[in-house]
Formats: sequence, structure tokens, C-alpha cells
Amino acid sequence: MTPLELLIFITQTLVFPGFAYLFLLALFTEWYVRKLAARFENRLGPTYTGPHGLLQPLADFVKLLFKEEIELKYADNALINGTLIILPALFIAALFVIPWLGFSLVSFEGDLILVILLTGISSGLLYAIGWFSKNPYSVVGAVRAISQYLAFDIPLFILLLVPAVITNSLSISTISHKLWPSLLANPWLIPVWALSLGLVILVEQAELEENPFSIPHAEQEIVAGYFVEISGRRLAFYDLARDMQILLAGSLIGVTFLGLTWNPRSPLEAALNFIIVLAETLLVIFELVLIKCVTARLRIDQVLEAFWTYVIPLSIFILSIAIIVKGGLFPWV
Amino acid sequence: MSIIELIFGPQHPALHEPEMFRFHVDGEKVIEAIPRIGYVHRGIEKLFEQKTHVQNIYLSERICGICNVAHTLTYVNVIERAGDIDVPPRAKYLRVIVAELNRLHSHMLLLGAVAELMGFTTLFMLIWRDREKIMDLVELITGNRVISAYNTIGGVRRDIDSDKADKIRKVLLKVEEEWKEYKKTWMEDPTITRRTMGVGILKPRDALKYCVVGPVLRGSGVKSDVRKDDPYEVYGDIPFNVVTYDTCDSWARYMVRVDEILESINIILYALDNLPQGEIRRPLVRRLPEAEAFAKTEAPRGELVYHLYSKGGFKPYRLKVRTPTFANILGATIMFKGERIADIPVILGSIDPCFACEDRHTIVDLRSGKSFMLSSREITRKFSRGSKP
Amino acid sequence: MGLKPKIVEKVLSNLLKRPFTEQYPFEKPVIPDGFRGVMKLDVDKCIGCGLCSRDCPSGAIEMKKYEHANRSVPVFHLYRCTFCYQCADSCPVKAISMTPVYELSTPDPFKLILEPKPEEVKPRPRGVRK
Repeated sequence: MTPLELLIFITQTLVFPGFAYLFLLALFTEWYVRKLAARFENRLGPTYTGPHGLLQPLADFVKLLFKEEIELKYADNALINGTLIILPALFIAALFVIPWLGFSLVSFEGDLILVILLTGISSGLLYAIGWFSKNPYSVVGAVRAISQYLAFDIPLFILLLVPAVITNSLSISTISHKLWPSLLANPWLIPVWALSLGLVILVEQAELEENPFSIPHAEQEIVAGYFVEISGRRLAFYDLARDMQILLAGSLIGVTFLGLTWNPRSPLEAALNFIIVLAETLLVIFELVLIKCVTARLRIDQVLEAFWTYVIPLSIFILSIAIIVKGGLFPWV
Repeated sequence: MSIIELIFGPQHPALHEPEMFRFHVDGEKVIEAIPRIGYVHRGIEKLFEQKTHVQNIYLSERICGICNVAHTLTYVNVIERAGDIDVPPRAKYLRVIVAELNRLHSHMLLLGAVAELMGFTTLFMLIWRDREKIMDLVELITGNRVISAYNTIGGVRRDIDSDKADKIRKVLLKVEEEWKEYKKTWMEDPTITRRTMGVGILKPRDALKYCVVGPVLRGSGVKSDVRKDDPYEVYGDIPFNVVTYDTCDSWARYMVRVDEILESINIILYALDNLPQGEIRRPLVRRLPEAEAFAKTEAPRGELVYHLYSKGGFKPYRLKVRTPTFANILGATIMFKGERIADIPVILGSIDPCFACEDRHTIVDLRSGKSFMLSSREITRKFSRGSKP
Repeated sequence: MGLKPKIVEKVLSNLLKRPFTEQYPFEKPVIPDGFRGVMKLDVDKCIGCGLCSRDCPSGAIEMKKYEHANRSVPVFHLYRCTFCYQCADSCPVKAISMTPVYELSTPDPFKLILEPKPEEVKPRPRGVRK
């Protein structure tokens, strides 16, 4: 690697499409979610800071960094702090794999599995935050979070494999490039694809812990669930991680299920790809916010029952149909 | 998990007023619920004895801000019965209109708040958006959005003209149209019905045994409404239905309120159409003879009771208030048993708790003999009276 | 799980509607006639009977003696006032009227005392009480 290539790589990692870009995009996602939810509810949403309140998430983040942090006497503070540093890092690592420009910073055959693994670890970390806080509310929230994880993780994994089966690849970039050519080559796959897209958005809603699955941090029941004891800088990091999680969910589903990108040969094509990926991400987040706004919160037992009796069998069914239609059992081996 | 004592309140997002509930939970299951009331005790009953009858109108409406019209209505009723004061018919109709507007806004407040308790923020925002229109109507008639100060001894304080009546009609018809859509949402939305149906069962037998009142009782299928059973003002002349649902769960209690909103709109429209002409108030009576009187009305939350004992003069000797939430809180404790933590806000919301009106009582724990609410000195002060009539 | 199309329709139509929110300090709400705001005392009409002070439920009205005019005039302590307007009701000469002013918050409670200036209080032309 020449020094110039190294410089470009470092710039890409730190600025675009790396840390700075992902940080700003995460804050933009928060603004988008808040504004959209507000408009759905016939409210205004953020208005004061910046044009149309665009800078409000940044203002919140900076303000939280300066606020007093309450050290808990009985909680394992070091573990909570460590968890909260790892948490956004996990999502940033997963976001590096998303092909923002048609190609991604890091890409290898099997990075889809890596992303799924990282989101799985994040659920475990959320449980850890709740458990280390040693508060009745946070413990109940942590237990709820882990029960919900058991429900949504399996169908999420299975459903994300559907586009992988369709395109014969486990690399997110390749899936994104080859999705529409593969679908058009075999139009029988289109209903399978549509069904899996509808279901994956619902399952993703459970991963994001938004309505109707906002059970682990149900405000009116257990105050804030696992992050009830988190304040100040810790809360800033938690919020950042949460925005990144929403961004990851939107972009991952957008890229793998809507595709439409290609390997760019010129900067103009890269820019076009960038716009397409961003639009897909915002479209998926639009759907997620819409579901959030038209439902009430369910109970944990109802969620577990619904997932284990309907969603998991249905997702296995969809995957098997996809495999059968594609022909052959594991064609990528 | 072993049994955890989960404490709800006095500060908790599910409670809009300070009150504490201890829940013994096993995992997610509630084994026992122990309410501990008294955080907003303000000594209002004692204060009643030190103010004149006229001043007490405005004190009574501060027992509960949400159902303030019901409180003043009961208060002026009890004074009018004690002093044998006659009220002009137009004033009676106007009282009914404002009381029903108050019921509308109270029920809308609760149904919106409960939607929020279930995490349904959109429905909460939309219901409260429509509630604004009702509050604007109250402002138009009485001069203030919430605290109306409308009823007075011997009548009402303001009249409405035909312009105002037309405006009320127009807004109410619009709200009725919207509300029919919300009713469909409450009846059919899969997440709402899944959260409320079969949750917090209160059988009619238990409801009568624990003396619950108002929409909680009607949600258990018992047809009981003071407006029908013991008509005050002109409720005897106005046709309306007593709404009951017999599924006995939280959903039934919410649906009673949803339907009562439609009934209330019809009552107001009928009262506006049949508004008699004439004066709206009699000259103010400041002094009562020696008398004892009792009045009850149907407040939005249930039966509201005032009992006045006057020894003559400008001030009451004793005024006892029994608010509906105090009657309902005991029934609520048995609704919680066997339900889950997630159901606590839904069940608590279904009795429409208003702790500020409830807190005028001393609760003595019989097991330990300890008084929860007041120190012994305060209790002595509270119950030793006679020097100041 | 099925979604209720009615509420989805309503929510989506809200996207195109103007938000219901009033941006209060920038746009003022419409105040209807008869709003119970700050009261206004017609000093010349007042006969100084003190009924308003006696009926005030929160003790917000004080009868102040103006020696130079030899009469008492009510002084409104708005920080105690509950805006019930019993004073206006009780006034036998209807000297108290209402204004639609409602923005009263101030760090200085003394600004909330409505006190007629001494030069406004003229001696009553007839019926001056001893």
C-alpha cells in the first residue's frame, strides 16, 4: 500500500463514508424520525434549532455531553461505561459494510453474517446495561429485552438470507448489485421477495424496540427499562447508538432488499448510487415510523407467542420457497 | 426470578399525579397491589369551614381541576337544598350544557392519556387535538378553558346567545363525526383490543361489593347513573341512554366512556334546542339557615357526593366530600391481581384516577395501627373543631 | 397481525395537513369575548363598599384607604388572584370589568399589584362617608 493509498483509506475511514459521515447521518436520521413522527401526529416536531430544527439532535447530543453524570453506588459503573463505548462502535463497524457509494469500505463474502452477528451482540449489550444497573426497572427491562431478542433474532436472520439466496451471495454489496438482475431473471422469486420484505420490516421493528414492540423500554410501565439509570454522557452515547441502530436497520434492509445499486465506474455514478442508497434508507425508515405511529404497544407474552407461532414458521417457509424456486439447496457452496 | 417489590410512584410516567402503588411482582405477574394515598392532601375540607359559602364555590372547583364543573354543580346543589333556593329553568339547562362539556373534555383527556399509556402516541395526539376544540367551547361560554367558575348559588353566571349556540352546535357535530372514527379505532384496532380485552376483570358482584361508581361500575354491566336514577337539574327531561358494557374488563370501561362522549354530545344538542327563555340567576344568597343537606351528581368519574351541615350563618359547619376515585381505588386493587406489569397502566387508567380529588382522607393501617398520612398532632387538629363555626 | 387501514389513512393524510400546533410566542391564540383576564377597576364608579374584598375566595383584594380623597378603593394582588371574577359579580355598581390580557408572568411580584395611583383617586362628589 503506497502512502497515498493509505492516506485515502484513512480519510475514507474517518470522514467519508466513515466516522464523521456516519455520525452526521445518524443525527440526521434522528431528526427525520422525529419530524416524520410529528407530522404523522399532526404536530410540528423540532423547529427551533437550525433550519426546520435540523440541528436539534446535535444540540441534544452536545448538551447531554455537558450534563451531570450520576455515578451509581451499587451498579457496576465500569462495565456500564465499557458497554456504552462498545455499543455505538458495533453499529459503526456494521455500517462500514453498507455500500454507500455502490461499493463499501470493507467488503468480503460473508459480511452479511458479520452484520447480523454485530446486531445480535448489541442486544446482549443492552441486556448487560440493564443488568449492571441493578435497578428493578432496568432488570425487568433487561429481561424483557433478552426475551424479545430470542423472538426476533431467528426470523431476522432467516429473512435476511432470502436476498442472499436470491443473489447467490453473502456479501451485502454483491446482493445489492445483483438483486434486480436475479429477480428479473427468475420472476417467480418476486412474490417471495415482496413477502419477505414486508415481514422483515415488521421483524426489524422488533429489533429496534419500537411500537408495537417497544416493550423493553416501555416508558409507562417500567420508566425507561434497561437504560433507566443512564444519564449525562452515557445517555448521549446511548442515544447515538440508538440513532446508528435505526440507520443500520434502514440502510441494511434498503440495500439488501431494494438493491438497485451497481459498481460505479465514475464519480458521477458513485454519487447516483449514494442518492439511491440514501433514498432507500429513508424509505425503509418511513415504513418503520409509520408502523410505530399506528400501533399500540403489545405485551411481551403476546409478542413471544406471535413470533414463535407465526413469524418464525412463516419466515422458514419463505426461505425454503426461495431456495426451492432458485433451485438446489445451498447453491452458493 | 423471586418476588420483587416494584414501586409505582409517587413519580412515575404512568401516573399523572403523585400517588404510590406497591406491586409485589413475580417475574411479570402481579401478586398484590397496595395503594398508598395521600400525597396531595391539601386540607380542603377544613378550609371549607373557614370560608364563606360564596368563596367555597371557587374552593370546591379546586378539589379537581378536570371535573371542576361537577364539583361546583354538586356544591351549589347542596347549598340550594340547604337554603331552599329556587333556580330558574334556563340556568338549569345551561348548567347541564356546561357539565356535559366538562364530561366530554374529561373523557377525552382520559382516553387520550390511556392511548399514550399503551404507547399509542398518535391516537393520544389526535384525541387531544379534538379536545382542544371542546376546551375552546368552554372558554367561549365560561371565560376560561379549564376552571370554568360558571355555576353560582341560585343559577349560572353567564348567558349564551344564539351566535354562541350555533358555534357550539357546529363544533360538536364536527367532533361527533371525528369521534365516530375514534370509536371504530377503539373497537377494532388490533393492538388496542389485544391490550385491553380480558385485562383487569371486575365482576359485577365484586363491583357492587367494593362499591365502585361511575363508568367503572357501568363497565361491569351494572346500569347505574345518578343522572337517570336520581335526576338533578333537568336530566329527568332529557332523553339519553345509560351506556353499559358487560365484558367487565378494561376495554369495557373505556368503551363506556367512548359511548358516553357521543351521548353527551346528544344531550348538549338537545339542551341547546330546548333552552327555555328567562333569567339565569336569582339574587345571591349569602346566609344559610340551620340545615343539613345532601347532594350527589354524576361527575365524569362517577358519583360525586357532598354533604353539608350548616349551623346558620355565612360559613358551613362541616362539608364532607366523597369523590368517585376514592370509591374506585379499592376496586382497582383487586383488578390488578394476576395481571402482568405491562397491564398495570392500562388497568389504572381504566378507573380514571384523579388522586388530587381523592386525597382528603386519613388511611389507618389496621395491622400496624400506624397512620399513613398525618402525624398524630395533625389528626388531633383535624378532628378537634367547634371553636370556629 | 392486521393493521387498521382507517388509522393508517388518517395518519398518512396528516402528512399533507398543516400541523395543528400553535407556535405560541410567535402566533397568539384567539381570545373570545368575555375571557377572564386581568381585571380593570373604574375608580370613579367605585363606592368603596368592600364587598369584592369580602367575597374574594383567595384574599387577593385589599381595601386601601386613600387619605387625601377620604375613601377606600380595592387593590388587586394578582399573584393571589384565581380569576374567578366573583368581585365583578358582587360589585353593586359594576365598577370591575374584564380585559383579555393574560400574559402575566414576571420575575417581580410587585408588578402584579393593581393599585390606582393617588392622583386617579378623586374625592367622591357626593355621599362622602365619615
